[in-house]
Amino acid sequence: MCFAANGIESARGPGRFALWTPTLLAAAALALAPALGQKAPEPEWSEAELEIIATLTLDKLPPPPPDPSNKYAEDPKAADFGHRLFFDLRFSSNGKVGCVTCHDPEKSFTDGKRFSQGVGVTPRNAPTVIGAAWNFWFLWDGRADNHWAQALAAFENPLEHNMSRQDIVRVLREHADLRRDYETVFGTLPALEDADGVNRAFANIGKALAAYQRHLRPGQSKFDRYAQAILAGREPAPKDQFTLDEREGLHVFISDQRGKCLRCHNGPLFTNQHFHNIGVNGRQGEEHEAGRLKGIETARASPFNCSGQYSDAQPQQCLELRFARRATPELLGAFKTPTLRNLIKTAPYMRDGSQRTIHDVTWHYRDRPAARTGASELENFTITGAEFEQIDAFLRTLEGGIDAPARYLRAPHAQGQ
Amino acid sequence: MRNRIFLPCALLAALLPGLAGAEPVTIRAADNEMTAAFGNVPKPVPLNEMITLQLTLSHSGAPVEAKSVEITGQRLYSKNGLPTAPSISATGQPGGWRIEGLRFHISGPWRLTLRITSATGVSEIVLPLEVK
Repeated sequence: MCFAANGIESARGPGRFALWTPTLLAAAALALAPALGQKAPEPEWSEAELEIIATLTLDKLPPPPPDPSNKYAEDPKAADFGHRLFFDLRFSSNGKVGCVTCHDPEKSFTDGKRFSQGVGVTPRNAPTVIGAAWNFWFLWDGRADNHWAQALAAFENPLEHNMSRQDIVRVLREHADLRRDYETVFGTLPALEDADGVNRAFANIGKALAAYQRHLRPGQSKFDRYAQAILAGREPAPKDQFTLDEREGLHVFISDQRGKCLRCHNGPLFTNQHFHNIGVNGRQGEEHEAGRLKGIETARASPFNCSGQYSDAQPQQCLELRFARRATPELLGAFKTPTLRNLIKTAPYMRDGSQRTIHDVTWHYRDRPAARTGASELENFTITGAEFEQIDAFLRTLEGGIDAPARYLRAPHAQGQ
Repeated sequence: MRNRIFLPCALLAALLPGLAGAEPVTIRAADNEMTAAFGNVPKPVPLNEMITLQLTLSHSGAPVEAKSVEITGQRLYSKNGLPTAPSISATGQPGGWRIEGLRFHISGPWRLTLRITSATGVSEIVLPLEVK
């Protein structure tokens, strides 16, 4: 017996309509299911696709890598002190700015603004610090090579906290609670005239902040639960079932011929941790930012880098700094690839906040604007507008909240206690 | 005697995960005389991890004292090169070189090209790699 797809050929003999009817009905149901609001049967994922999907799930994310430059990275007391520092507004020239100002837990540790506002308006959209412990480089242009140096850059930036390192130590000395908390972890505060001591105390503040932020990791998302189910060969739970658009979006996302997204957004955190020029041109008047080309030189020159005297690392442990690419054309106008997890609360997007919605982001890749500085890497995409929308749908499945001790997601006890 | 040699090697492979999935690879240059024998190419090459490769260069079967070895990498079907600037240095063993600081930030097929300058001229060795 042979059943052709168009139903022309059929089994001979009695009951042939009884054989045809369920086949036709099944085919009709398959075609009509999306229109009826039902989930279409799971398309089969190829072995190669499943292999790729397996690399993207959060259960592939190892514990935060060791940071040899910060001997306090795993110290619970340092993390608690860092938590208090994160929410403290006293470390700013106007007494109104803290780390939390631009990195609000309620907004997945961003601030919802196009350009972040500290003491002044910065030229940057604040990236999240969730998952930052896994970063190779820090800040959009990678001018910090370790987690604690990133915090220090913000303190001394006149548009952010607008403090000198002596100002920071002065605040520590002048407030009994801060002095007590600092000295519990790091020992006696230096005198303000002790320049090296001030530098070291300044570095210690960064190290405490980094120790706290190591506890902030992305939470399990619908994508993770869906992926874990299909990789285990079982049906996802009803709430984790992917819609047709979400599934197609994932297909396109992981395809090296179609979406090509994995070239930059790979691994459990959906970032390759590298720097790319994708034609995001920055705030008006700042279109000629050099990006990573200058950022790496700033990192190399910093006294707070991994190989500096305030680092706890041996020089041979500073592999990122040692093998960093420098002075090559592709670094001009290149900025760090951000994570794609938890996008829903972290709008707007890109280093200049120029994309208001996830839809706008996908359209940026479709439109491929020219870079005003350097050359954009974006290639022509052979995917349709509908497929870009499906990528949008998939990206929303990466929303998973924050996996962190609950107390670390809110302000600690009132300041001054 | 053979078992005494194999046992430590097996223990070494078990204790060093990076080597357990590695295999030796020998590549001959287009001029058919320069050869690079890589002792420990991970298979597959891990995504976004720093790796070190060791190799021995020989010319017409004899170790080569190369004047310089330059390295470039290219991810096929894209514009992307290596994200790091690996260093390549002589090990002190005859024809021995070490490549440190190699990282591949995009999965898929890559080509690592060694440009070797020696007394016999300039040769290119291309090592294909699959990154996953």
